[in-house]
Amino acid sequence: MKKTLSLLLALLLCLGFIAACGDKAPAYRTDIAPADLAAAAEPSLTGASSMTDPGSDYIAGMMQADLSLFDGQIMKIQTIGTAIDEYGIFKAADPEKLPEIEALIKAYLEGKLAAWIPDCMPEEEYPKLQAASYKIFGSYIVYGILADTEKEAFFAAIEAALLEK
Amino acid sequence: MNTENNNDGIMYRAAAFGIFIVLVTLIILIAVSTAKDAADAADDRESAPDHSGETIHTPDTDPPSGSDTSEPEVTDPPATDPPVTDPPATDPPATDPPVTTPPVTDPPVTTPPVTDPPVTDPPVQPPVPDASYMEELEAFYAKYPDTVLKQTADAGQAYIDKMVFLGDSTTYGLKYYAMLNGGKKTTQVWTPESGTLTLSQASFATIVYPETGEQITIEEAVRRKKPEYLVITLGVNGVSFMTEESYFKSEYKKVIQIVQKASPETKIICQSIFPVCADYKLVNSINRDKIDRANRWIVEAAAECGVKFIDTNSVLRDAGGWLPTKYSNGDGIHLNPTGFTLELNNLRTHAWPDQE
Repeated sequence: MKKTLSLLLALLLCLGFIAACGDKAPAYRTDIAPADLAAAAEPSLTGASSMTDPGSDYIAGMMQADLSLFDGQIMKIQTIGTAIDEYGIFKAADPEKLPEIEALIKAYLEGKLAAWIPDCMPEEEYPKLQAASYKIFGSYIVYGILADTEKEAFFAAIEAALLEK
Repeated sequence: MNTENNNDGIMYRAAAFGIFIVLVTLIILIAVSTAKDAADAADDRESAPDHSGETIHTPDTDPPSGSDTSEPEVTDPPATDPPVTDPPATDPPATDPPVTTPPVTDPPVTTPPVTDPPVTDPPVQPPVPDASYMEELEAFYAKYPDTVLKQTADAGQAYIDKMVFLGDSTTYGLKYYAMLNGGKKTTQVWTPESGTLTLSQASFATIVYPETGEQITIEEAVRRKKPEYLVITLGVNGVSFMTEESYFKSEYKKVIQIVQKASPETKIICQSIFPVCADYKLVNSINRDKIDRANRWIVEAAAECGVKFIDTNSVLRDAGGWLPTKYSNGDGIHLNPTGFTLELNNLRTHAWPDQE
């Protein structure tokens, strides 16, 4: 009886692990350009119409990033008013490089926080920078320096676009 | 900083669910097996002790040597509730980056309102910078004779009136303290509504166009106004993180080139970044050494673009290389009216060659 029980348990354990390992992550699409994702998600941002794409030079300079890491990227920064709203969408050229891109984004956000000058910057915007965050959706990494509710809506819109069939 | 990897969450949940199923199955099987064996053992015995309320542990079929099989071991019944296994959180714990800046709750710097009119010809004596520093700096400037503005006769207030000042919060004080023609309603100051203008964003940022109040790009503002002189004071917000010479210079040159393209006739004067006080609270990020280094990059950028450079830093620094507190508005980085007077006097006495 004990041997039978042990065998059964071992079998169940294996099945459990196989099931766990075999379970698929959400099937995010990989064929959407970051600019198109931005266009899909921007309706969730009230100030999107006055956000500016600083271009790849800015990304390369500020992130000290090798642009070949990306199979497309877009960043938008608010340039009107006092808001510091900003987001970035990066598609990894090679999924194995995701951790490297993640490290760049993390360092970028930490650098912005460290460079904040309280006497010069609009005080009410600081919480956005403190709460800046990023998410990974398959081959895409998306960060946001946005108000909490807008950020959640923005991330949700990105995910929805990437899950669309 | 909050991070989330949606690819990992589903894996953790699946693994946890699998382990949970295994554990529940294990408990059920053990309970069933134990009950069955106990019933079998009871049947085999002619007389059994009273173990009501207890589960009888059935000895192993092949007991270890020396074990006493005649007295069954009494154990607690197996738990009927499965063990609680909290699923792993979908979101990893927040990992806020360390905050290196002072808390935002710091009281904003309040500058006293200015009631006196701007003083453009005051007996204000500039601080005296370190002689060896100046000697070394002059040697550096000597390499750029066509770029660095030299001392001239006083070009007068009329010269200042022809200028537009583009910059960050260190420039905004010219308007705040009514240092220019038009006082607080001057049209000679171009700064963003947010007050700050980071060099890395200057090429696409907007400024408040004084004539209309619109927020437009620097390029558009230059195209509209075509100022005779444009004094650019940028970089203090960049020295803390724009540590690569090529990046700093390329961004600075980008701004110059935008102006040159939009208004080729505008005479561009790149002004050095002002010093900060030794006790400035962010002195680890913005300090004398970083500013001195960036100012040399500005000279080189100006030379490469064929525009002028004016050294106002040396007029505002003491022997230690810092801004004396008597020229600061109290926050250690922004000038007060006396400091701005020194800046304006320096511009007047280091005039563009055709103004001498």
